[in-house]
Amino acid sequence: MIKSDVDILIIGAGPAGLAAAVYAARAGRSVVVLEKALMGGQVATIDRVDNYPGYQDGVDGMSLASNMVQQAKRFGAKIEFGTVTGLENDGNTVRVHRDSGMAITARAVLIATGSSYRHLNIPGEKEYVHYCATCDGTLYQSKNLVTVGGANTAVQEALYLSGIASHITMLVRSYIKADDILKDKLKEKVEAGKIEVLEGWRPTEIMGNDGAVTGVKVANTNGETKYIPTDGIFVFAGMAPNTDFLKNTAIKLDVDGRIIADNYLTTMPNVYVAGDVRSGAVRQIVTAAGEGAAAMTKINHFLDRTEA
Amino acid sequence: MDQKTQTLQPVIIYSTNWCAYCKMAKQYLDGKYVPNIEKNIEEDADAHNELMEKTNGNFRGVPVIDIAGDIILGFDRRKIDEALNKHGYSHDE
Repeated sequence: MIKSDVDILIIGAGPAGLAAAVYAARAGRSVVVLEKALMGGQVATIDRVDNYPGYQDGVDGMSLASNMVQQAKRFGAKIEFGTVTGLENDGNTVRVHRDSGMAITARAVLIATGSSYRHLNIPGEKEYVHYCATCDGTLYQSKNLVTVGGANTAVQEALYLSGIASHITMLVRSYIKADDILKDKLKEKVEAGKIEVLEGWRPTEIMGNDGAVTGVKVANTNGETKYIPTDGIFVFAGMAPNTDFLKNTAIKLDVDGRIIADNYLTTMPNVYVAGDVRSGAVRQIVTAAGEGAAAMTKINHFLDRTEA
Repeated sequence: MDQKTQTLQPVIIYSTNWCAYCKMAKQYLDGKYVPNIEKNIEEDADAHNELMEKTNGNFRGVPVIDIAGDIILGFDRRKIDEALNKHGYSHDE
């Protein structure tokens, strides 16, 4: 019998990790899910999810996330807060190190750490930028806002903020790359004078005074610059994979920092990956959940084969 | 909950309606049996003003957590744990 603290350790309690936890627990495995910050992952911060099957009228992200957590718990998955600092293969098990200094061993590990908001790395960002419209948007009732980004999330969040703020200026590095349904809604807001879209412009510095934002310096692709006065700035510039904790491990990453895998198995034996953090992933909520289920099915087969 | 914990003032979590990290902070404190209250700055103007005073107007978003006078910005488990230990709240990890 291979000795370990748990059969399966899942790192990350987003849709991939939680779907995997359901499949692990239902297969009778002992499973622990460690989450660094937000149970349910980034989904929990989205005000509305309209493309997840089963919710014909859409669902708010917090409810969807909470339902996923409760569902995994119902089958016996243990879900707790914990930050992983590294991991190594001990032969038949994987030793996972936590920031508390404690380690936990598992026969198989699933990395489902997803991604976090990408930062701009410009002056003033650390002091003044918001990344969560549903958290902090309410502070800008009837104020002017600048948003950064032009993909689906950026448009959806700008639309959400336009219901609170009096005016939004969207800075879009290239052009709007959102689904048609979102583009149509955006067009309505632009025509109503609630949102202005500046394509080809990016922020270069965020200015403030006494803890409050005063404006944003911006530049375009022709090298022109200007200053936009504003009361607040929200950045939705895409996501960066959460793989910093893997830097000194045998797990290979692609050029964007995402985990390279063959059929969900990483380059470290006994360690699998699912969801947005996997190189090549589609990065949707529904595909993350699907990957979690598929990866856990692989893990269950692997554990069946190696059962003592 | 031990006797000592019961005599401590509750931790205050300043939140808004749709702040997932605020809900996480509350779950985290509940999980440690730390007495806490949530103050919604979106619905409670007094709570909003109180928070602005505590942060000297230098406020960048919720949650803001007040642990016996130590102000923590965001759901930062390490800083929360340090403040809980410093002020003698129960800590089960």
